[in-house]
Amino acid sequence: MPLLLGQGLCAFTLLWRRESVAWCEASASFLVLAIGACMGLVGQTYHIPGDLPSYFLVWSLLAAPLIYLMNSTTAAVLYICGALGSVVVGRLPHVYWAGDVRPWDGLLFLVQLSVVLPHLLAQLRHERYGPRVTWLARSFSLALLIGYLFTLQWVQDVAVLIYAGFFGLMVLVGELAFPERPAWKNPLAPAGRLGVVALGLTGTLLTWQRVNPGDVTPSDWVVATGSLVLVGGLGWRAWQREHHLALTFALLVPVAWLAHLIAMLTPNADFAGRTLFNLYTFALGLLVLRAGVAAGRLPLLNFGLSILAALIVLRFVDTNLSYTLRGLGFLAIGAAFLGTNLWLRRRVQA
Amino acid sequence: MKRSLAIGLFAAVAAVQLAVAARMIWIQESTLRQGAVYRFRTEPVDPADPFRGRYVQLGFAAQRVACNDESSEAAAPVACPDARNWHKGDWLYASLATDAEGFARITRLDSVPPNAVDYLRVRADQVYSYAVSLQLPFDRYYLDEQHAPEAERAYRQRSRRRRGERVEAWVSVRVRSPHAVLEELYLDGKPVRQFLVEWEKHSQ
Repeated sequence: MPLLLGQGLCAFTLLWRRESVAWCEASASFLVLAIGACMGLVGQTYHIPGDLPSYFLVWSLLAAPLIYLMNSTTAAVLYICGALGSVVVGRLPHVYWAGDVRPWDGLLFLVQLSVVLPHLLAQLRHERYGPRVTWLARSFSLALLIGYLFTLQWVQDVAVLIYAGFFGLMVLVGELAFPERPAWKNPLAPAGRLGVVALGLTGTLLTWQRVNPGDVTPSDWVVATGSLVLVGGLGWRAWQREHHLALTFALLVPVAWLAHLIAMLTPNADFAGRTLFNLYTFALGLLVLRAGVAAGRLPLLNFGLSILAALIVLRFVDTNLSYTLRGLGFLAIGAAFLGTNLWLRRRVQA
Repeated sequence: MKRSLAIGLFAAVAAVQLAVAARMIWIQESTLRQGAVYRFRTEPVDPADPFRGRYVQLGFAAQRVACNDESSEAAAPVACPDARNWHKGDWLYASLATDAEGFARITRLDSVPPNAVDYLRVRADQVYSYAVSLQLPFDRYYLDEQHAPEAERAYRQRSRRRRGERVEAWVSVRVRSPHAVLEELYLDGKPVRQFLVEWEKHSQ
């Protein structure tokens, strides 16, 4: 019944309310949910055991055409939820059977997610700064970051390469696709920047080791190299359009690859990767700080200071400095925050 | 997109959506009508599934299979000729027979479907050299919100067998290979709903 009702509503919308965004969104989302409810009801009626990954997969595949037929962003977001569920639920430990990761799982997940990309691009052309684009772009990037974790064959260095690529792409796509709005309203770039900083700081703690290529799935290699190529292409575009700060964040990707190559070529130089990440994160903090000062923007200045402070705190944790020195260091960080904020405020007011 | 094209495409999509639901129902119904009946002994387990309403989680003695290679001379209850090649998560085919008490038992596990006998498509949960634990294609019995907790309590009490005691909880399953549909849960030899009505009367 719910399925037929949902189909009837969609048919009505297509025939007589096609121009109404509200009707399209409402009827499509009702039908998507009705498909899920119908499958659940059949499962319950016949006591079919709970194979939730398959349930999510079939549900999302049946719902996918509605994104385009009804031009519905809600259907696209629900589809993303289904695609995410199909990879996440099956691999949550101790809840359902968690099979080994198959060689092409990661790439298949990306293909699954990319079903919504034409709709996202169409919405970008139609209303770049509208809520539909913001909602869809945020859902897409969040699903990508969470879902890919569950398809990874956990090889530390390759995981860093892949996530550096994802965060780098988020920064570049965010800056290039949404250049005009305030930074905090950009659906991709701020999250990408935070990811870059988090990964940069994490890289300073890792022991970079030689990776046995056989331990990595072909899917992970394709995604890692593909994201490097994409970052290269978009980085060139960002350079042409003078998005220098975005480029600084995207530099994490070649830095991660360099650390990986050094570890592959010189197996006993695990400190080299850590040193590279330390240098990169320190430079990133300084450059963000400088950009904040140059633009007279306190939030950017404080972001740069926070990166430097986090790096210094991490080095305090893993070095054998005395408590007195650590205490003085923390006081110095606090004083630096206070001093630079006061200085920039006076400069802006003057 | 033109309206007529959109309507045509939507009709095709709607037909596929209905066909998927209809196929699910058809497989279950044809199995219930034409499948052979097997009774499986049950064991109590913990329930956990937030998505499909209330149900009684079922466990089965038949889920744990003691394997013996066919080439071995030892008397083995279940033949597992390819066991060395099996891994967790593999799909296997469990040939079925009935024991002296009339309950289903697995006689053989294979990597490919057997030809002559009724069988279940099962998933290997844990694989050892001497044993395999299986996920059967039925592990829950759905009831309404009101009856599920009572049924589960009664089921747990009756599934705890001591040596020499009569089996008091089982399920009947229709098997039309490779499909299997859980038909009914029996407690004290009665269908669960009938049992619960009598239990409620008795407790009042």
